[in-house]
Amino acid sequence: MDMGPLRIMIVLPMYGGSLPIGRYCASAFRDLGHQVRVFEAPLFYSAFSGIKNLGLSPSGSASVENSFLNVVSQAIWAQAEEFEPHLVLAMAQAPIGKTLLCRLRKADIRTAMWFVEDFRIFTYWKIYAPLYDVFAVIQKEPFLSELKAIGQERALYLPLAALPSFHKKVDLTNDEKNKYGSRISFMGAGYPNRRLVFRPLAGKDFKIWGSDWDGEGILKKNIQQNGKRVTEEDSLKIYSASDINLNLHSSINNTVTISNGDFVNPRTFELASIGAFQLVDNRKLLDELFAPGELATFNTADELYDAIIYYIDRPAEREQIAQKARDRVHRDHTYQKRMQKLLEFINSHVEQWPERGKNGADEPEFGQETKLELEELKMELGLGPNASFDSVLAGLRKKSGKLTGLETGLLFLDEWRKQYRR
Amino acid sequence: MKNYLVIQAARFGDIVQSKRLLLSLAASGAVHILSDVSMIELVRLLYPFAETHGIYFHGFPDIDKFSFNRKIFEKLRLLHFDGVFNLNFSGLTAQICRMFDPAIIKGYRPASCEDSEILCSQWSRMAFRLSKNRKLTPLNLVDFWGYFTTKPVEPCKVNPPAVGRGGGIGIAMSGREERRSVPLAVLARLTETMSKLLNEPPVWLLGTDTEKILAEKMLRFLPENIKSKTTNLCGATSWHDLIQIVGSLDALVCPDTGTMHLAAHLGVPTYAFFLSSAWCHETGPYGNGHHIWQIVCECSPCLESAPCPRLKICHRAIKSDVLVRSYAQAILGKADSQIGCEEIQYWQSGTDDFGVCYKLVSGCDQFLHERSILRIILQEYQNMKITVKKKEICATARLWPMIFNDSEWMLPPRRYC
Repeated sequence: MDMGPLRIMIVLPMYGGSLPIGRYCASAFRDLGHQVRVFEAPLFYSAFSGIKNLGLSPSGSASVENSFLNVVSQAIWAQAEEFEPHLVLAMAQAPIGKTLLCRLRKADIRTAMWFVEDFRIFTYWKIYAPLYDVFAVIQKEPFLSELKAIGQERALYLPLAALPSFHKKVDLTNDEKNKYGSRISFMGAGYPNRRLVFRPLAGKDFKIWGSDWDGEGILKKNIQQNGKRVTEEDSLKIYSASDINLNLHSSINNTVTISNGDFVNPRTFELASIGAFQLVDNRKLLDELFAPGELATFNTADELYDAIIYYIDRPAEREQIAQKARDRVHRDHTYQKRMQKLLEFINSHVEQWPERGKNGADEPEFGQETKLELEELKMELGLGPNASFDSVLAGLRKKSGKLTGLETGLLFLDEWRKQYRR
Repeated sequence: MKNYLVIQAARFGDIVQSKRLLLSLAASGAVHILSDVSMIELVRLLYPFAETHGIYFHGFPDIDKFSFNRKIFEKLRLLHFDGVFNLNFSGLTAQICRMFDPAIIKGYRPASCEDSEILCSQWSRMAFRLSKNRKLTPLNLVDFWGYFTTKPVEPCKVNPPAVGRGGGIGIAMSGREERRSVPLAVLARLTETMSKLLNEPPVWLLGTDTEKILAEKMLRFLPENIKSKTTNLCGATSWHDLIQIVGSLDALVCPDTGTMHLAAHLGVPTYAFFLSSAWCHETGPYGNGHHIWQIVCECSPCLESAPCPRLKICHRAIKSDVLVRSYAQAILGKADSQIGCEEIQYWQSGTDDFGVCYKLVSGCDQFLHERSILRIILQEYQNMKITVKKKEICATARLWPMIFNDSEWMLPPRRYC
């Protein structure tokens, strides 16, 4: 089946770790030449938090929350009706309920979820996974078999990645270097295993960034900004300004500090893409993503401490490893690659992928003069010369300020033609 | 001197009904009207004070029309407008507004940078709420558009009072669709009745080319003496001819049509029959001295785009003898308050400070009181003088949200004023 430019709607969660990943996916799809619309569920987050803070009884709260989620579902549906996507990609925790999934299926809209969570902790996938056309995950066995057992046969292992256009080294001012820089740093939430492993580093030039470090006494002086949440942009500054970035995968198990779990977290790819040196705990799926020499890893807390001592005064070695990691990520582990793989998987596994003709408004047979003007317009809108007419229209719709006669004429023509497509 | 652009993409009737707004704007500046190319001659004849611009809004879109429209857009873009009045809730006209500063656009405008969403002004949103309960609405379309300006011209100055001109009887053959049209046999009876009461003056059958055959069929229902004085002009008149003929009439018998609005524009009395989706309180003839028969069934006014599930019961009422009797009395100026049929109301048009209003002469209207209260609230909305006691308004508090809606004050904006 042919797969031309598609209309892809991405439904973000209201909050959480998969939120920035959803935005990276949107960017990647655009880079691949598809038309993207993002459902901004975070816009609803404050209202949702408001309900939680009303002090209602659990049953009262549940009823209001359900009604609220219905409203959000309706908003997603309204956007889908308008955009007529070929594919709705939901990120983990996206507010798409069962009814909406069925509705999308009836409307012949393909659905996929990228479940970028640990299946052992977030178990709700058991209810929702079969309702999606495709369910992409960051873990392999036994998750893939379990998905098959509950009726989801189109599961795809799709590890996380980086967005090189965003995850790149940042030039810092001296003030920023002082603020964000340190010999050793860690960016992430204060899970129990991290607290235990990091405590012996308390006396060093070691900055800890991120939230959920409440009650941590030994590392109190290391924790920055009182454990305030760090933006994606500020994370880049931290990564860029640190000699050694620690990357310890989280574990909620108090007794296992280095879990040697399976999936690889987004930070691994992001640090690598930036060209920042990292010490990362070994993961079962890490070897197939990075070759020896591309990352510096550890298996135990002692190995970590030894590695810090070894690398702290070897900037050339750090640089060499970081360079290799960056090259590998830019070559194989970008969100563009992941999204391309996802689309190819859908293309080969799902029947009735929409026909190319449904891509949207075909370019009318303009005269030569208008064609040339259109080419200029594409450049002005930041589109490639082969960008679809739909992309031009989408660009014009988003353009601010007063439009020209040509631009107005094109949008007018599109509205006019819609009346004949209905 | 200010410069205004009015975008009116709709057809005949709506162009005539834009008059109050156009007159109001002309009082303070130069007016440009953008309409469909097929309407340009009509616009020029109706509004000689305005500069007209025509583009293709209708028909199948092709490259030639695109190129033509684009040139007009370029031309308009270079003119400096102090206000752009978009009268249509339409994706098409919304796109045209993207050439102008959003701050000067009145009525409907596109959202600043997102797809096809159209933002409505507060006044338009209020009218949308009213239109959800059409039985109660007291707002005529002419006034709705008129209040796109802050100071519309006085209602009594929009159209001349209706006075017969001695040139015979005009019969408008059909409304926008068959459901809204007066059945041919009834139309023939109405023609015959008026002809006899006015001493058999000439009769002019008016309509488009497609109504020519209908007109010929209707002629068969007329007695020979009237038929001999009847001329079928369907499809034979230019806009200029139509204006000349309608402007010379004693009266126009019609459903809710563009020709009815033209007669009102020219000050010719209309005897108008509203049924199905046509609702005189929304689109009745504007000005003093018009006569309207509104057929009111449980389902009135219905939705024009939806099929009729009730076998057109409103058409049964319009065939009633009672209707013809009431009509004859009206022609003679002797209307009775009793009409003898629950489904028929006879109204006469007038004007007050706010706009056109209709006075119930015969028949019953269970919504009369509520509609009059809503009109008072509308006047309050427009900061006009209120003569009715507040106490009475408070007794109908449930009507207030139709005009002053809570969401206007509570919800964050995706809206503009």
